[in-house]
Amino acid sequence: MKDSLIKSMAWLHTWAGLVVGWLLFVIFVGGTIACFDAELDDWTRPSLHGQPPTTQTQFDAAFALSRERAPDAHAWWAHVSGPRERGIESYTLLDDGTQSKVVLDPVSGEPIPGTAGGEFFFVLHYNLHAGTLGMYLVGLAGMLMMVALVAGVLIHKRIFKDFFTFRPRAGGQRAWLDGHNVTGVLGLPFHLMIAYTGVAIFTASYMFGGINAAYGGDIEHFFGEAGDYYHRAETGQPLRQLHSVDALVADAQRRMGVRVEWAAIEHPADSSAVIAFGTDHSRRVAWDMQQVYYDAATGAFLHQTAPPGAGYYTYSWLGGLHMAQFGGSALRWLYFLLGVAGCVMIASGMQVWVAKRAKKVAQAGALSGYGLVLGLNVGVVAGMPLASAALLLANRLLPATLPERAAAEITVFCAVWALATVWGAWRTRQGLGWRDLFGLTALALFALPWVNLATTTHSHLLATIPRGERSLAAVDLSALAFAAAFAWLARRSAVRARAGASQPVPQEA
Amino acid sequence: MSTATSANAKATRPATPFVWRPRVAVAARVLAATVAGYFFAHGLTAFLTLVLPFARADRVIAASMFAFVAWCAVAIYAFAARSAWRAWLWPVLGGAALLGVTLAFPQFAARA
Repeated sequence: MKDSLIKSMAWLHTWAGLVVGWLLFVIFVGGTIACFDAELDDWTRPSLHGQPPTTQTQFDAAFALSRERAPDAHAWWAHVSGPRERGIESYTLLDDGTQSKVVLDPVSGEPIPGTAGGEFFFVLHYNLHAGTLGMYLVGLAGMLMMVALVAGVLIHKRIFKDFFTFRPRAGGQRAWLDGHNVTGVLGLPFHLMIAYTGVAIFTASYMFGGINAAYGGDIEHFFGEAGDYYHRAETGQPLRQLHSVDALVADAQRRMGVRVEWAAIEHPADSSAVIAFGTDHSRRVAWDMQQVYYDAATGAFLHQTAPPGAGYYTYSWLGGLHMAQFGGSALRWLYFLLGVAGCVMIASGMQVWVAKRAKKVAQAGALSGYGLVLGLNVGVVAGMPLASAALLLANRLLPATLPERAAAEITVFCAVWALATVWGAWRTRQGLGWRDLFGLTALALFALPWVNLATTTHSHLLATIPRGERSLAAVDLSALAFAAAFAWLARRSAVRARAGASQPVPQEA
Repeated sequence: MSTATSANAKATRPATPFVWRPRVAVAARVLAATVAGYFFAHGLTAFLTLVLPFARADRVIAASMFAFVAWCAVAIYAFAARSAWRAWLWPVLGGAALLGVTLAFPQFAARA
């Protein structure tokens, strides 16, 4: 459609990037924070802080509570207390696909106050809290990202040289483009990998031509065969008694050769009920999907999954590469920093779009497509970090006894984001939207350790550093570091706004 | 960048009137990249599941993992092709042929 490949790829990169940029930014921020989802879950549960880690499982206590909450559930599922996350997560899954979660104190087995926690960002990352529709939107965004990356490489004749080129003082489009290129080229292998493995994880939902042809479209049959999972059809007869789950842990660990990380009971009210044990994914790149199964009434061993075939192992490897559970905290920090680079690549790319059209943007005014792009840029890029900081503040400031506490935290997140977007879009007319929101974000993040100090006894820096709880301390210290970064961004935006005011039509590079 | 100068040149001109032809062509390519591209990837997944010499689950996974790369390639082609017409033609023809062959051998495709 354009006269050369490079020109049509430049067009594709520009417009694919613009259309998907805001959504992709949200997915990237969510995924970057979710690198530490378990640590953030732990941070958001101050009632557990200061407790020594326990290796004792609490499956029977957790499932007794599940029976009270949902006796006819499709399945109950409970995790163990671990070094990254002390609370015991316990889920009840109903036949209609809905699930509910409580978190238990690992020592007492009692429920603790609810919180959105790190899991909020993890779910936001893969389905935007919008269920199946959200999962497809995220998948489409991932494919568009792959296309934009490939097109971006094709238009980039000087890809190696640009790696060493950053001219922040050049101003305007030049600086934004350099920033976009540096973060884009630096992170390119990571970005390609993360976009590809991200869509590959949901392959059974996204790319089902093979499952249609080989399994008549039966996704459960496919996964059951690929993973050698065990399943018993329901009998309709009630379960006579439930065998102790904790009593089976030692045998399950002996058979698997690794620590039991979770247990589940499938249709726990039915006489066909099965107790399943599984482990985590921390020892190698590929997910460790092995499971052992016991009869829920007698505790008799039923089945152990066979090692995965080459195909399923490859899939688990790609999924594991995306989820970063295998390399300890050093790898999580690497993914986190590369994720931040991705956020900067996306945000600066959208600024390039605006800077390149600066004259048109200035002429078109606020009520135009350009005005919409300006407003969305500031609302999404500067609004989401502010909303995320507000979510963490709400975790400490909302009363522990509040019913539906996790939902209240999410309401704070959404309300702050909506207000920030309106405010930012309005103030962008005076060129001050970025400064205001970046400045507020810096303040909110700077306040976090102080609010922590004021509201908790075991969770603030003066308590966590002496106890050597580095993950908890890292959240507060990261908040301070990001507060400094956002303060720098706010100051830079203010300087640019003053320069822009004396010079009505922004200079183009 | 050459595109930057051409955009600047356009920016100095008075607002251009709304033109249908290029817009329809762009929309046709966008749909070719998404709809026709997905159709091709879908057909390719089915066809590779039919012909790859692995066990059933491994065939499905290998086929699906490759299909995302194929979709990406078709999406790039949709914008590199000489005309929107071609951007549709090859993915749809290819996808239909691959899917058609698979549907002709349902039992072989579902072999263990």
